Amino acid sequence: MSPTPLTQSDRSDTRFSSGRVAWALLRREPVAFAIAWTSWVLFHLVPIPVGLLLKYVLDHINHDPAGGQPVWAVLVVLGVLEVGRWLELLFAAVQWHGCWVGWHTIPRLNLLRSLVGDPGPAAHRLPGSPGEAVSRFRDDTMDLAMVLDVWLDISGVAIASASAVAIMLRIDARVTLVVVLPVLAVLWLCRWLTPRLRIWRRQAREATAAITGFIGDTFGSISAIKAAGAEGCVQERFEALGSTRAKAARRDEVGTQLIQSLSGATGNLGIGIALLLVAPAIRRGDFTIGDLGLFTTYITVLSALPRWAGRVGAYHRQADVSVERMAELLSAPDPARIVAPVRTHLRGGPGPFPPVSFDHPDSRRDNGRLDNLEVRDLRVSYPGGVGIHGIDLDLRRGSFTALTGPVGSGKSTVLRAMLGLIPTDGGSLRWNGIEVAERSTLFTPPRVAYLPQLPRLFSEPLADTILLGVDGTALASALRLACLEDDVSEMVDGLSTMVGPKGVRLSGGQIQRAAAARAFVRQPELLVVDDLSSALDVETEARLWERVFADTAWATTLLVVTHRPGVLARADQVIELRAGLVAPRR
Amino acid sequence: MSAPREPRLLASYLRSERRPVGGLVALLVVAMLLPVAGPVLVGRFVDAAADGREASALVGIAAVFLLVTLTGDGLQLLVTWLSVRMAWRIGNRLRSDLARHALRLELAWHGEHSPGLLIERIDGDIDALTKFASTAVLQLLGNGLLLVGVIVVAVVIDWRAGLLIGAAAVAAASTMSKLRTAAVPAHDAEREVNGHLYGDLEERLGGLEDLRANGAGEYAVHRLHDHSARWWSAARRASFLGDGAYVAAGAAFSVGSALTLALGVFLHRRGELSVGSVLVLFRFAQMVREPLERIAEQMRDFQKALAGARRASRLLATEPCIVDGQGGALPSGPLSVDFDHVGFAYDDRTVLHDVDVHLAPGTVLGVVGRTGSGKTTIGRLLLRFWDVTNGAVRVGGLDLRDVRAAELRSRIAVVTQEVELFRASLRDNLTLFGALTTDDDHLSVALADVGLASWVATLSGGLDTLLDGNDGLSAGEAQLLAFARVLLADPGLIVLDEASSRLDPRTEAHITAATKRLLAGRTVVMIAHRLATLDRADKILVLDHGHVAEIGDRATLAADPTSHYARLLGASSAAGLEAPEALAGAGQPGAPR
Repeated sequence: MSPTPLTQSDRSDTRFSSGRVAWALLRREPVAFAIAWTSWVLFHLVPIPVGLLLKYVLDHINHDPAGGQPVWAVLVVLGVLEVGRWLELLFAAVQWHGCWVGWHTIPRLNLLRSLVGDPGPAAHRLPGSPGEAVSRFRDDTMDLAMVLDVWLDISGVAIASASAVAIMLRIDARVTLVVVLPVLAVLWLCRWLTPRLRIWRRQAREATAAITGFIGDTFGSISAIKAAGAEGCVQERFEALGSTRAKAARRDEVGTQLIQSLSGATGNLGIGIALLLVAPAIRRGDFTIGDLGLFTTYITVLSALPRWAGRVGAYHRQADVSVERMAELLSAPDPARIVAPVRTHLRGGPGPFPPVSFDHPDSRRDNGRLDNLEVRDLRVSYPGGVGIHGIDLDLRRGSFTALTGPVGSGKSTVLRAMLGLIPTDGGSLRWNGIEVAERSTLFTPPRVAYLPQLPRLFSEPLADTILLGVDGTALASALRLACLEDDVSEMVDGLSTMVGPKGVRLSGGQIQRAAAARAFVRQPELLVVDDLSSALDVETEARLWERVFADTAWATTLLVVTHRPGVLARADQVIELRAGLVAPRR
Repeated sequence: MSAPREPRLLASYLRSERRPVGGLVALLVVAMLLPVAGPVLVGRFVDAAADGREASALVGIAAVFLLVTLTGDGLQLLVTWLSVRMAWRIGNRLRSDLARHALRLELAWHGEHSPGLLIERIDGDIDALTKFASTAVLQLLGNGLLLVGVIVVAVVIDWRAGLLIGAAAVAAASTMSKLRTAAVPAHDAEREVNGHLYGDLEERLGGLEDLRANGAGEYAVHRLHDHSARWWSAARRASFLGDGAYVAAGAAFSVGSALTLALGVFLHRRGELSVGSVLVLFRFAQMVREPLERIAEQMRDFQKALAGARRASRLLATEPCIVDGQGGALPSGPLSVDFDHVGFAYDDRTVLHDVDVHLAPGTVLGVVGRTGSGKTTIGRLLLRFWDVTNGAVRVGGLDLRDVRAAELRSRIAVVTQEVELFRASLRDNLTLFGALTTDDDHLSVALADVGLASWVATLSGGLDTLLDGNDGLSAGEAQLLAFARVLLADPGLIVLDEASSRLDPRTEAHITAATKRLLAGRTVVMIAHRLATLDRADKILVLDHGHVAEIGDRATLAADPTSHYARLLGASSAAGLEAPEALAGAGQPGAPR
């Protein structure tokens, strides 16, 4: 990614907050969210009727100790309410887990779809390693989902608190107002404390990372440490890092407990103040014992409010950063794309992938067969690299063009630039005379297939990693063209053989030929092949080309990087590159 | 290892904290019992009000309530503060002992234990262990106390209600533990689904170009969709079983508190219980839920902590095989080197056979031989990373087994093929965290001597600049930094395991110049992978499968066409024509970046 989009994403931070992204995400599955919202609010609301019933029971037995049936009926209702609350929680939890997965899946599908499908060069789309990008798919989507989750809880707690305050106000406005005061104070304190807590947490994490990094570094170079007799100094440094970390971790842990304790203290303070205030009223009979039971119940409800309110702000700020990090995976950093509408089928799954068929006459007709391809003045430059400086090529239907030249002359670069995998500085490509504006999306099967020098297989059955979603009608012939059919028949599991991560369970030659089969099975109009010789021995490579040339049914056009004389001899035209330029004909 | 070690390990660390632990437990008892007093005081207040007592008496009870409960909250915070401090004190002491011990262990042991594993052993395991030893033990103790306190006070108020609350707690605890166990496979299944999801995603992201060029983008998106759907089912199933356990326990408590209230009302009707007591018992029935849940949580950490303790004590019990020498000091200046009929076997594989080599101080020896001929072992024996199996290695006339490791390593320096740099300041990288005591002027001179002055000038922070491990530097610069280290150490013997990495010609020239300065006035054992660098050697040792194939003056051997060395030289110049091609082939991967 060039630096420009990054600055744009910096700007978008202020323009597009995580709250708005979360709101858009909510609207993708509004019914599911409504169900989750209702069930959580209900769960948080149960203590409200429980308090009322408790008041009734206490007042009843206090004033009318011998009273009959109604008390028992109320007690049964109270029991049913309490048990029902838990059953409702189970429903809410299971349903919430479905929402939770959905909140992750929508951004993930959008991000991946942008990475694999958006126009533009594929190179440098990931800001870091694939593993780092996975952390954005895993952790940053979760931070966004946490925002929706905290909305559920804060709604429930806030509605329950409001109801509690409304009922308490009707009983005794003065006491209620005084009881709410400590809650408000702690609310303010928590809002003040929560961001600090996040900083402390981050500092503790950083201090821990410093320690683990130091252990990894020093034990990774243990021979250097030992050779220099530096064990003592390493030990000292380790202990210094350890005490720094201990300080940060202590602050973090105690700070977390402080929020807990404050919450508990709010409840106790509220109850204590209520007791002090109602003493005269209780004497007069203005305030009943039932009222007191109700107040103690409701004050517990209120004391949960500061904790949750503190989290709301913290989660939003965390998600702001995550939204920005996710946007960096997009071709253009527009946060709205993260939560773009996407059809998900989580219940029951999306079903099998509808195989893409390249045999269908329409798929060929629409895309047009290749009659000729002109490349003019193709240029790529690298800071500190060789690059290519104005390459012209003409490929005619059914012809075989060989690209050759010494190492570093730009052969692979020409292929990758033509395919739109890397950014170019200039040049034009004409497909049957028509200028191709966006190569990265147009130069794909069934028009063009590409066999890179270091192909990637994926950890799945051999057939799947060859087909990658294409229908299997041409598989057998592709395997034969790629000289892989004998290998497959020798495998115990045949085409179902699991190839392992990056195909580690196959030999280097088998990986290369499986990737060749991957290209052949797409029956492209133009087949672009980077050097096969590093992975295949002379004999196998010769056999492969023989089969390709013998395959008359499929009049493909070939552009091949090679330096093997046997292959060069068969070429209709040989283009030799030197230092990024076409060398003059000999 | 014997089984009962782990508790002893922890006990030995706790013993030094006897007084703080005692104080903490006392504090905990108070902090946990005060919350029990809260509802009792509310009950007293209610009863006093019902009895029509004076308002001043009511206010008095309310004041006591405030005092007691707020003190309880404050004490709890204090207990946390103290226990967290203690946990980190004990934990860091244990970590430090483990690190010291691991640093003492010989290279062979480190060869089998990756740095990642040591991070777990020295840090991760101890985290679980100390958390358990301090916070968790206190939590267990505290919540247990609270639970017992509540039930005891309830029994005192009314034995039937107390028993009812106790029974509800037992019923809830047993349902929770049984159902939680049943949910374990479902949680494992969810983790596995997620493992597949992320694993597959990482692979596809790594093969982005392959996906795009093969038009397989939508197929990859579909796989992610499919994995997410699997996660959906697994998450809901795990939630149903896992949260089910939690819900069942919660429901048991709720039934318990409703029954307690009913029992209270019934007893009140019979005049056996005051209204206040009914309220107290109801609160108590609700209060027992939290400590039980906390205890269940801590029990899960218990297994983790135990496993960590087991691994930590096993590490501490591993004794280094190399026993440090007790003997005297090495002579100053260049050191003589003697391999007296040295034999060395590693893992039952004999690496060196009867190697008998003697070098006068100041000699430069070039060691050549094919991969696996034992070249690198010669260097490692000199540093006493391993002990010889037969014979003896003497440096400066002293058997290495008699020399203290610290003394030995201050007089011998090594430059290995792979220079390892640390994510630390340039100064720390040069002095290895202060192992070389020297001032900044000397550091600057050493850097200038190896030709790095202009590079240092580009660093904004000078010697304090943080290096990002090996990432920020070229292989050549790293090599030169290692040379600067050696210049600073000023050793009498250098083991130079020649860099096999290819350098650009300018850096190569820098290194050649720096090497010349480095070797002057020292004994050098130069382990060569390329013959071209042996021009500076006085003597040549040719190793073949651990045997000395040949040793002698370089000039003599080079002149003798029948010598191994001369033949090696011939072979390399014949290969010279091919060499650039071979190198080019190796340096050709995929795409320019």
